[in-house]
Amino acid sequence: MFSYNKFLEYPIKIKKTDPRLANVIITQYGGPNGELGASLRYLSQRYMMPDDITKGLLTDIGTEELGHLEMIGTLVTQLSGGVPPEEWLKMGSAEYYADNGVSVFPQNAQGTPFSAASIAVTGDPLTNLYENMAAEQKARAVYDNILRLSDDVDVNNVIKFLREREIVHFQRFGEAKRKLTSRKKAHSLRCFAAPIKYKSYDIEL
Amino acid sequence: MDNKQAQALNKLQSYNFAAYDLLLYLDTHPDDKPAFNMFKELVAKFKELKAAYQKSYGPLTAYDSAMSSSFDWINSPWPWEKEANY
Repeated sequence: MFSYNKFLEYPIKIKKTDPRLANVIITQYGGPNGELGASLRYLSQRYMMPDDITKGLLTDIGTEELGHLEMIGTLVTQLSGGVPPEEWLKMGSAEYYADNGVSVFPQNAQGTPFSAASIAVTGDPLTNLYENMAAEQKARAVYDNILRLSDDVDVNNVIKFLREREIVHFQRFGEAKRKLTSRKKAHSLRCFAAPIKYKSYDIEL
Repeated sequence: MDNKQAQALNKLQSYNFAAYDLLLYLDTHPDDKPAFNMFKELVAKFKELKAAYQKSYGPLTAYDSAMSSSFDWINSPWPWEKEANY
């Protein structure tokens, strides 16, 4: 079971409210490359992984991502908390306010609610690890975009921390992939879920 | 949050972060003995800092409130609130 620590991995204290920026950052809460998708992707992939390194890594990174989800929720709530409706109108974020008020809702920056369709759990260990490496790069790219859009130092320090974690996770997934392929034949890995007899699948990676 | 608490929390978070980062490294390098020894040191220091912090500022996990004289898990500000940060 999971247990909860009553502190953030990195402190967040935003001085200036900005609902418009909150509406941008919310994409890392419930968007296709966000922290909710990341945690669900890794924690769901664990169940069929063939080796202990990958089971451990997915558990621990998936857990850290849940902490990052809370950090994004913290950014959003501190950027938008207590801001009156007129301010939301002025900042062009009336649509979000209409649906959710000042709460935190898992959606992307354009308003589409979270969808598990943005994550992949294929039953193929190597494909999953490639998916995860790509996912970490996509999340890093979105954090880059947010840094281009925001000039709030308090916000950007937090975004830079999260961005750096994507790079570390990418590195660790790459190591897990190498260890997996060095211990097992790539072919037997691809066929871990069920043996595939078709000759055309027997390509070397 | 006053300066003293902020410093204590900052130190605790620093050790927690270092330990967690090393945990991910150890997942993919389980035979790296020096790294494991560093992990042991970081976790020991984190536990020590956590115990001291909790004595002054309340529990950081729900079960730790069992060590208090009354149920104080819900008393301190929550991590997403500004009052819990610095």
